[in-house]
Amino acid sequence: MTPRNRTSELLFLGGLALFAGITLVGSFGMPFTSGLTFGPGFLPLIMSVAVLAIGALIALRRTGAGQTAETPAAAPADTSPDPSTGPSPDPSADTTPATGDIRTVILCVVLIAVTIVAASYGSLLLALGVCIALITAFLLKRGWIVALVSTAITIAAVYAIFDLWLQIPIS
Amino acid sequence: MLDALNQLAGGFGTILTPYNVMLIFLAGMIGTVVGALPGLGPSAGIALMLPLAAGMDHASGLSLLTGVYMGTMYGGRITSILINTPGDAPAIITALEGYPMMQRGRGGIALGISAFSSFIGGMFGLTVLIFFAPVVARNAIFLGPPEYFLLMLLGLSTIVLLAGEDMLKALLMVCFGVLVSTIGADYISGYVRFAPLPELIEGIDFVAIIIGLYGLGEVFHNLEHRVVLKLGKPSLRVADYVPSGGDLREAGAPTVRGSLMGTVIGILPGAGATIATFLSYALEKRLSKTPENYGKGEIAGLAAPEASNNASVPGSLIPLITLGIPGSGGTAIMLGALIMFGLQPGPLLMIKSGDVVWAMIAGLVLANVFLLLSNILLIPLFVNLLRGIQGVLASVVIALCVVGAFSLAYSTFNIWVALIFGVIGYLMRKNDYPTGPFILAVVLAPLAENYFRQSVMLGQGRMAIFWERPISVTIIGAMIAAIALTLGLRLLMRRRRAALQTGAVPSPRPTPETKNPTEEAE
Repeated sequence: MTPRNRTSELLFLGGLALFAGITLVGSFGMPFTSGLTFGPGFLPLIMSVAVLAIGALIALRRTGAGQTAETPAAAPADTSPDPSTGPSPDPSADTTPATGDIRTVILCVVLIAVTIVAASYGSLLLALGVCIALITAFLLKRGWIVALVSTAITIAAVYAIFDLWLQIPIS
Repeated sequence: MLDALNQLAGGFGTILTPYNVMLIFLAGMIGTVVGALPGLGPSAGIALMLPLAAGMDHASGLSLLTGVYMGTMYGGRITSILINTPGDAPAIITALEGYPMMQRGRGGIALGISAFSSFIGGMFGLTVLIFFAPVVARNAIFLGPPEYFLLMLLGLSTIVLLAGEDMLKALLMVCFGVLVSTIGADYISGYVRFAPLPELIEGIDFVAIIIGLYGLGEVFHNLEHRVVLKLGKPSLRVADYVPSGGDLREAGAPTVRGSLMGTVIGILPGAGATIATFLSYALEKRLSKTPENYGKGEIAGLAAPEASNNASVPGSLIPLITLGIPGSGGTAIMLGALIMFGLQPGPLLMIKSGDVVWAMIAGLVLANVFLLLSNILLIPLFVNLLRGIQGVLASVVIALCVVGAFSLAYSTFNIWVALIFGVIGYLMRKNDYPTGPFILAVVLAPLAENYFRQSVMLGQGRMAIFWERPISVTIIGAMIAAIALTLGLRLLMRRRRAALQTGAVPSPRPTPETKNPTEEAE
């Protein structure tokens, strides 16, 4: 595991600890029992403590001396498919992962956040159009013409399906 | 049995008019499109069609609604397989195996297999609905809160299978999922937990979470690693879309098991398609000789949940028709539709309005056939559409995710939720934290908590209520056996791997063990 990955994991665990800390403090103010059964504070209290304890254990394992003996990072059984496993039936159908660039992710998150703020004051469709045009042009590096054409088609399709057909007020 | 067939024939007599046939076909297509859109599931699809159905005669209106219901179940898998963005909750599991297949250039085949499995599952569920509806429903009412709690626990026990290699990380994800699920009003006491904003009083919308975790999380990961899809140029080669005999043989037994599981779980009120798909995936992984291949495009892991997903639709209609109990969000709206048509849901429905009910069931059979045909024929369209936009796919997925999250409550709040869970999903993926246990906990924890507290209340504080009845003991036995078997197999696999590393045993298949090149590079 690289230092960058270790940082991202500690950041993730720190976020979880913060969330669990808040819920733990909050659960102290809720009844633990209620009549003949458990109260609304029962589950949050137990789970907050569990998140803090397990998170601390993992963080210690990562930062501690026994790092070399840590569990191998096998492919998790989630939606993180490993495209490299086994020969692809169609050689052209493979994906091509390259070196990670965290800045594109941060930029993308910021762009979506700005879009949401802008949508609160006006049209979601317009804000979204600007957002995906910028993502296509700058982050996907497709050039302005492709960005504008693909954005126009996407926004038109989204407008037709969600606004005109399903009557969801996105414009 | 003959009586049921006679009644069904009468139903077909009502439904087989050009108008109704066209209506059912359109209902299936509309359902497919709605189901494929992130954020919109069966409930939204049926709700959208309610005003239209209100103006029709009972049989046509109900056929329209059930056709849309079935169509959404077919549609949910399309975006799951093609862009790893489940259209609705039951399609989450489809993404686990379908998306890796798509990445390996077998997206068309994955769509084909899932369409066949969905069809078989739907037909299986319908057969049970036709012949055994009253019998099954009569037995389902014997399950009380303790049994339901244990069933939820059985579902949660599948984390052992979804955990990957690091059980501690999986446990952390489960606890985190449970904590997230506690946000909002407590159903039993009415106490509002951790809701500083009014939008959180009803809890975090589960669909916004899956849109973020899977849709945006995947986009962020692909952006970071500059993953470029190379799906080839648009083509219409039949071999790219039609599953081979070998593929179908591989999917056969899992489809049957998934169909059975989906029907049974669908019948249980409150359980629904999502839980059915999780359980059926877990079962297949447990039965598999190569469980390490799961998550990498295993046909059995795709076929079984898809079958159970569609089998749960007729399954969930059984308690609705025979007892008036809606088993899911979709059937709750169906219940409203029955009342809207002036019908009385409950034990008397099949006696007083049998002609309408049997016409609706016949309509469902017809819709299922149409959906298989239309979905198979539409696969080239979906795949080639994806091939056409692969260069700008990230932008298209972001647009769908943002609008899908917005459409949940017509507010930007759910887009924030999706964005936050997108970042969480990205970090989970980056650091090998499994998303499966997290999602499972978010889905099951609220139900499990309610049933647990109700049970303790019923038992007047005695925990013995959980093992007093034979059904409870059976479920506990199944749970213990499942966990023990899985842990045993896991231990065996680990020993075998260790033996392989020391060279004691010749290597059988190197491919499943291959590490991700990105990890290697790092």
